[in-house]
Amino acid sequence: MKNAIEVRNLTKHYKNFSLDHISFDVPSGSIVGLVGENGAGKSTTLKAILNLIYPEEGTIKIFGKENTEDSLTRNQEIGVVFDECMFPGDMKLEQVGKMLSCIYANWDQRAFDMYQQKFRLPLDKCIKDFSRGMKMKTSIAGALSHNAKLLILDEATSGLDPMVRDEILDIFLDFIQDEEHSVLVSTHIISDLEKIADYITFIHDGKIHFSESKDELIYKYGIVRCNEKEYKNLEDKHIAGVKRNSFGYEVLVDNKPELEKRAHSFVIDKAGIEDIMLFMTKGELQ
Amino acid sequence: MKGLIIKDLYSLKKFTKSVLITAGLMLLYGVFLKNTSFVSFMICFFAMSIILTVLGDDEVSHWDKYALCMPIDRQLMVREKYLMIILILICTGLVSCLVGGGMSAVMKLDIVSSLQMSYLAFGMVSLIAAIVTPVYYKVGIQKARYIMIGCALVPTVLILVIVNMMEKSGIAIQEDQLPSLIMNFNIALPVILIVLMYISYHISFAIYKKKEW
Repeated sequence: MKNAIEVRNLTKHYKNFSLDHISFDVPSGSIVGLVGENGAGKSTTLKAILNLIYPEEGTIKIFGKENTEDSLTRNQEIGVVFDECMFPGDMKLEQVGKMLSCIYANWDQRAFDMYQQKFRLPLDKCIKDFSRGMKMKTSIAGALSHNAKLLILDEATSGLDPMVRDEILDIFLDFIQDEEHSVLVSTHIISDLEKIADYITFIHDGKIHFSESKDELIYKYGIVRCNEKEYKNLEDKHIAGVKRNSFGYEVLVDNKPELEKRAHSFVIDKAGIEDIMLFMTKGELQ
Repeated sequence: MKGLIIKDLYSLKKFTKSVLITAGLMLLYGVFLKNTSFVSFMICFFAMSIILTVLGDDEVSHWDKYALCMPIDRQLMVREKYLMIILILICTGLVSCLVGGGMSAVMKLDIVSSLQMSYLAFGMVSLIAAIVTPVYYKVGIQKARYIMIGCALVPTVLILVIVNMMEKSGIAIQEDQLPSLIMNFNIALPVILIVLMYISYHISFAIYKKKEW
């Protein structure tokens, strides 16, 4: 499978934070969720991919080429949405369309008009007078109206109400119907990823903890609720996180199918993405 | 570049009203005080306010971070900004000449003096723009505004101090030297400005090339 994005050993140091040899892929035709808590390094990773910061080490390839090469041609095929609308506030929607049509060679005015109607964006108001939801929809309309093959979204749905988020997620699912299209979405809203992502890459404190298929994660991880004796019988190598409470132990394991086949007295529950993240970051490790 | 120019022209549209109002007020001021030189001077200085607002708008909306994700490179961003700055300077210079010269003609005052003042003001504002723009790229719009005020005040104070010292020491420019001094200044100014803008552009690009968001 070809990769739309390949990140290898990406390293960037700041005074109080470092991205530490990040590696992950965004396969073509898939939606990859980059998830982590605030300050984990999601935005820093995306900025490095977009050439907005300069890493100290590592390589980033987009569509098979280094991200520093031929950026003008490559950026024609990338649509970016940040967590705020960055169009000048005094512009109106029509003016935004005119501006973008002069920047992108493959600008599709019909698609932009279609999104304007679909999102019910007003034509007679300035961008600064739009609500937050309208501003995000404007950014998304801009990103989807130049025949992009890759969407990079940095907290694009943060601060939006569930109805608007749902509408936007459906649009991304439509976008990905074309196998040449890929999406890298960075968010801390797990429910969004559970709805649309094919792969989840979890970043915590500047390091990648896992980068796997969402279905595989849900299949292999489970939460074992047991007492101390049962806990001691679990294999260390399969324990990803532990929480102790007054009732006993809650243990995140990565061999749920295997455990379910064995005879046991403890309870094994499904682990959602959020559970996995919480156990790995807040749980105690062996 | 066309898209970036369109964006900035849309931003400038909002100034049309205030430029017309300012020009009108300056006109009235000039008529009442029978002083067109001051009018010419102030209209040119209005250019600096327009330039800083256009730069400031970009900073407020974090436009650059978004623009660099489009098929736009850093050199194009800086080039376009300088093009807009030069356009704004030329346009306000022309308005200054038209308003000042027109007023002088109607009020039967010295047209040449008014046009000379416009030319001098254009030169000063262009010099300030050449200094302030790299500062904006380095440290942002707020500090650039302070530098602009400093650039406007410091030469004024210096000129006043020098003139005062010359008067006290009895040194004076001979009246018959004035025409040739003015002529030399008029010829040298465009060359000086082109060189300064060129240096300013390269400093700005060197700063912008390394900038991270």
